Amino acid sequence: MAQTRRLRLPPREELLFRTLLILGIIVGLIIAALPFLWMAVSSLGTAGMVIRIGFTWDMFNPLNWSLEPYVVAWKMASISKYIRTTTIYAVAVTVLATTTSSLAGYVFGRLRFPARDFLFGLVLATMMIPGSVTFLPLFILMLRLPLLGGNDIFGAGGHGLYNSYAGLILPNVVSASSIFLFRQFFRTLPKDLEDAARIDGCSEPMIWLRVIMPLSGPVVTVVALFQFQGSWNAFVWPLVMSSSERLYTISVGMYSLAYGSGSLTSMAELFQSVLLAGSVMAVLPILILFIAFQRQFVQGIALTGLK
Amino acid sequence: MAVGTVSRFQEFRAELRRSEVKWAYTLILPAVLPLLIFTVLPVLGAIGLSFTQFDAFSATMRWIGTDNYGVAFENDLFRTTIRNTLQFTVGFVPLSMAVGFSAAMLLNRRIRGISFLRGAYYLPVLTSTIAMGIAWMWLFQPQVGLVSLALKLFGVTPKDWLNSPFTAMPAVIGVAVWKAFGGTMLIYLAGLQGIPETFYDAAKVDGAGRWQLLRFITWPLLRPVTFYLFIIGMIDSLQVFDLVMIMTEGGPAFRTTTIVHQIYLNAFKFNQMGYASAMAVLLFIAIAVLTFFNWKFFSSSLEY
Repeated sequence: MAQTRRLRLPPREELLFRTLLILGIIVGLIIAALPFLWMAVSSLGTAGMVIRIGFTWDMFNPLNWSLEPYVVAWKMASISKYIRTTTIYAVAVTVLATTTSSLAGYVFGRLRFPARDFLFGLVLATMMIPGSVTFLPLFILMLRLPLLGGNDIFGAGGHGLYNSYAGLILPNVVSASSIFLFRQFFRTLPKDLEDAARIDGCSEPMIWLRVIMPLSGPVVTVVALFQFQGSWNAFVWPLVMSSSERLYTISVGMYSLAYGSGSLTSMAELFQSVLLAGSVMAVLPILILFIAFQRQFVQGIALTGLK
Repeated sequence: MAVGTVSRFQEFRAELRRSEVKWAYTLILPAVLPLLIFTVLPVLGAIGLSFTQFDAFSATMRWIGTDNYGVAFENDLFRTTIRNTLQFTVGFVPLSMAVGFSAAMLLNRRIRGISFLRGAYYLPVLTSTIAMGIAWMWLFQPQVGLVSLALKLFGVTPKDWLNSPFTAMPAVIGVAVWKAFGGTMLIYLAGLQGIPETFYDAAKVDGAGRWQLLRFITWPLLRPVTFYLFIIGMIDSLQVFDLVMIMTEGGPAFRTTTIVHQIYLNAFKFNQMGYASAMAVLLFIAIAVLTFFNWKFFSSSLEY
């Protein structure tokens, strides 16, 4: 049946439909990819060329490309510092949040204990509270934590965890949606898996580590990827939590560069290319990760419905 | 002897049970405690702070009742903020859904390179809003930006898109749609894959054309997905911040300032923490209402 259909010459209407379809796909591809290509090509411009001339076909000639904007961005515009901070932040958040969330997902999905449903309901309820509602009171909380960062017992006098890695990372050590995802997955594993281990005297954390986690590679990958991607791109929280350049993540650093609070304003000739070079470097790690783990990213979206 | 074995077995089971409960509480502690401290407590904090005048750096606090809310509703800038946020929502939600749906229809087929194409469409979602905002500022550059050059072909006079009162918001909406449609597409694609092939076969036997399949099968069956995306899109719209910060800083003349941008400005630039908290509480209520509708809809809707 399918064979005969394929052998039959497509009628006029079918041909028109296919042409439109391919055209649509190409237009979509251009819309999605053009800003990236334009950004990359413009970031390779030599001094003055990009900002004065803008678009010329010469830009696409590799002989005209220069890595000078990248050198300037990396050395003088502190991109290397931002990348370092962002890496520390993103790796710490990914490791901590994946661990705490999978432990909690294991407990909620497979153990029985009093108040389980209430506590899990609480976790679900926190999923609807977004960071844009909490970042201000959270900032005050971190600033006024008692006995930390020079604060007295009433939280006065010092600056608590403000402008520190601990302050950046702590509020992100767990993710409610990841707990949910882990729980859903762990519930599908057969129950007798861990009973044998339990009778042999294995403790719960050992069962989680030795029995459950080795079976959960795909879901761990999905959670870790989204944690990393989210914290790599994080903006609001690092913005309000850091006052020194040392703690700027790449997004905060790029923002400060774009609005001239960095050390770059004097080099107007290269400014645009350097900004774009910085943006390329902000996007590149995620791009590489996406190419390596595309299937997991796409599955993750289908699984969680998160955007 | 038999009695002894049974009681030892029961003892063992009870011991196992006690250990399970003990471990359960221990192991959820590192997850539940931070959620309570860093998510639940701040919401309560925002509610409390919204009734005060508060300076975080000198830690002086004065109870002023509902004045912050009163000020908000009488304030012209707050009204502008709400209007801007609604304008963004009205532009962003239908556009991101329409573009995402179209992309899903285009890419819902088995052809060579399909996963590459889906990946390319989806990539903008994953990248840093700040970095891509900078790239788009360059595209919107008045004289030599690609947008100006492209529109010149159609006889449109180039202008400073991000600094003109009538084009700044549409530009921000456009970039937001570009950044989001890949996510909408993937969720629609997941929905499309959930529609049984037999539905289409049956309709084709009855002589339905492409348009009728879309109109009478695909679209109605995707209604739950559409509703979900509609609510999620609104929740996202109420919280636009990164894109506005990088592309316009709320300008020109507050033409693109949004709720979260105002929370940020009032808290960290004007030191009006109490007033900013009142806005955060209002935002929270709006999101809670939308979340409730979403939950209500999905707990009552029937599977086909």
